[in-house]
Amino acid sequence: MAEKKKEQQAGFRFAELIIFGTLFLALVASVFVLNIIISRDSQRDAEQVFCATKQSEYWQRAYRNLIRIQERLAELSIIDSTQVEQIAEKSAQLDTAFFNYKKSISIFDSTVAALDKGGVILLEGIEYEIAPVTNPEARATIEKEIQKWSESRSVLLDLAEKTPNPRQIESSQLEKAIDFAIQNDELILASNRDFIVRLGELSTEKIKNLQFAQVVALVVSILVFMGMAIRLTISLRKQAKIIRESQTQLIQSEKMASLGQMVAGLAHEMNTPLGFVRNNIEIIRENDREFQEAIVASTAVLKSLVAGNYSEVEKQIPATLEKLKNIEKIGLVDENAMMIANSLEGLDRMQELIVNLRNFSRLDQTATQLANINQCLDSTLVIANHILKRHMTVVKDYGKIPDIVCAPAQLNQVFLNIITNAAHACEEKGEGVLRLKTFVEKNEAVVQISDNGKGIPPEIINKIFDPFFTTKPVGKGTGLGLSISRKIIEEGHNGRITVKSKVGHGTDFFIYLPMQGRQEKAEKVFSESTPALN
Amino acid sequence: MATESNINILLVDDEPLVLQSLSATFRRQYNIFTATNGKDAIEIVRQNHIHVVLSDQRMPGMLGHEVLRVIKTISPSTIRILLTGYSDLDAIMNSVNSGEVFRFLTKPWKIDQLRDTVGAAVDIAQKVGQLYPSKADIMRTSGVEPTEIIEQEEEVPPPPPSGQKEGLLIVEFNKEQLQTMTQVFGKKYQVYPASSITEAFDQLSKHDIYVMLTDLNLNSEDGIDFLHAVKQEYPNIVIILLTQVRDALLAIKSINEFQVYRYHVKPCAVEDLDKTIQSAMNRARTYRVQPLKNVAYVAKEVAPQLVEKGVTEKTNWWRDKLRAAKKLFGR
Repeated sequence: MAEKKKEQQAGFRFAELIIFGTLFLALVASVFVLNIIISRDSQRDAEQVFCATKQSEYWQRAYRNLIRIQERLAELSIIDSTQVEQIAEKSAQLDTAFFNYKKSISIFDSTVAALDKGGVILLEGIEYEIAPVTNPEARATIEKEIQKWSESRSVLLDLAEKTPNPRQIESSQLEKAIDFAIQNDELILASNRDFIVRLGELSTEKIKNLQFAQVVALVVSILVFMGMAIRLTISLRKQAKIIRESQTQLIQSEKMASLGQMVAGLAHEMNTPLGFVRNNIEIIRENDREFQEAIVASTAVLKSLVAGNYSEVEKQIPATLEKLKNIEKIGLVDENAMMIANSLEGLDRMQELIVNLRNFSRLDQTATQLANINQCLDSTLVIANHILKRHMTVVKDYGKIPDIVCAPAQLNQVFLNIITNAAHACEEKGEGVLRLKTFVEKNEAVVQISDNGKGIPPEIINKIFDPFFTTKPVGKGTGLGLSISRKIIEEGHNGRITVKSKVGHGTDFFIYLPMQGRQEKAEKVFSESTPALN
Repeated sequence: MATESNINILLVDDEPLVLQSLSATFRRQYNIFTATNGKDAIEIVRQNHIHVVLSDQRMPGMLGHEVLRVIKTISPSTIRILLTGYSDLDAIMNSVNSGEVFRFLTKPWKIDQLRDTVGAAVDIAQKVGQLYPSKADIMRTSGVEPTEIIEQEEEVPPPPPSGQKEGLLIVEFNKEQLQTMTQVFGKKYQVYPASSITEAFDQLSKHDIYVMLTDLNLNSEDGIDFLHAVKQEYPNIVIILLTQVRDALLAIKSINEFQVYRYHVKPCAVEDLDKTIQSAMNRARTYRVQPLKNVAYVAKEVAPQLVEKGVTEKTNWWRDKLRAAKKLFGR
């Protein structure tokens, strides 16, 4: 149930992460899209501005050249035909003006059409594609100009297109064109100017809007990001807490399991002496009853003797003798002595067990103290006896090891764990040997715990110290025993624990405990490095 | 110090002080043999006619229930008692289902209880011994390896002619499961289903039951009391427990109070249960033909004081009811 709930929580977090991520990406993408749209708009605006600028420019050119045509025509009409040179010069000027006019007016026409309906304009051999002006405010500024132009464009264009020779321009036509130009010059220039200004204003407005949108998107995306970060932090913390809690729980249950193991071992060891001591005492009591009867009878005989009541003595003696004989015959005195001796031994054994239990758990002593590793192993063996008894032969090979500063209760837990595993490893075989060897190597005390059981396969030997790794069936082991053992040895004692194993031959655990190092720490007088006294 | 008793009892324990203590307890009444391990114990049973064996469960080498199992095959008339110090569930389950232990005793024991139990066991052994007058002697003199004898199946009375089915009472509180089991076993046996103690009582009163397959998830103490009463009044019914709880105390009680035949833990395979029922049926038939093979029956006959020990008021109440029903239905 709890696991399901945890899974659900994890799933929920995952979905949440996706939602947050999508939101964030969407915001960033929308800013980009806006940017692209706006930049395309402003490119179009720039082209339109360019077009409008060129329009004014070419209008002015066309206008100037139109006036020039009129001037040259007028000048030509008053010059003598004799002045050939002058005529030629003026004619050339007229031709140039006409050519310029023709070019300018057609470009002007194409720019007006382009702004109105969209299209291509050709300037100095380069084609520019212009989009039609769609923005109503911008369009309003050039609407009138377009209208005026469409009314009279034929006049000005015909003048340029349909006149083969500029000197044969019809004066009425020219006048009409000039009239239009003079009347509308102001309008055209103003329209263009207004159009450009309007476009500028519009694009400023657009940029402002864009900036606003960008800022908003940025702020929102920052908020989303922060929300995501906060949610993730919270859920990670929660997860860490759950993991920590379940770990504590498991460590606790491992502790309880080893405590249970210890209690079971103790109960078994206690039951045997308790059983026979109790039985012995009941037998002693029964025998005692017979002794008492014999004593009572004997006392009666003695009393009768002292009193000189001989007939009574004669009567009492056979029964008394029978009682005493019976006691002798079935050896009740010896039996009682044996029962008492055995009971005392049983009591001693129980006392020893209790001492061992105390040594094993060290509940009444400080956690860290000077202790003898060999003694620790011995008290662990007592606790583990019920596991080993059936099929294991224990061989002790203790070396001389100085007392070391350690946490004996914790070390005992480690030893018990490894010894229990050894007993289990030999279970299939039916019998096995547990070898406990201690020796000093350099600055370390080494405990070697070996069995000749089934061994650990090489593919899992690297995992045996991992938390939760177990080869035992569900419910039989927490998979924490060896990982806690390693923690106790490595973190608690600055030591090392290693394993060597061969399938079918057995397993050797080596525990290396430094003989110095912790001692210095323990001998410090003050908890802080420099005590400050006032 | 040996007495002239012709009753031999064998004490098995790896702890010499326990053996000394137990010897002192019984030496005045019986001949005592002791062994500190299973191998020696088996050898002693081979060499001597042993009436009762009292063995510790946890010993180096062979475990107590294993020793008892071998002893049973060598000398079926030997009554077997297991002394367990450390209530080890697996061991108890194993001994229930394989060793056919007469009684469990727990350490530390009370001397009176021990003496009563051993005394009753001796009485039963003497009675049962009539069935196997010289099996142990034959073995001893002929030198036949007991391993060969182990292979020999006990003679089993033939099953009734076809068409006549033996009665199987199934007590199960879950109606669905009860129906399933009734269907499964209805082909081979005359199944009498019961979904409560009252129903079981009715079925027992009205029909001839060979084997009783029962759940002991009996909500209250009633279950054990009821089964105790049933075994008292119908010692020939073979009881199989089918329960969800693996409980050592319950297993011990079911041996000590109603000599349970097998203890099955739910869920179990149909084939296993079928096999158990089949062998229980064989056993029930044997009991009907040779009541002396029924330890519970003999115990009731020769050692009623021991049987009465565990009796509660509730058991007596059920017994009275069962007796009355028996009279009423004339069975």
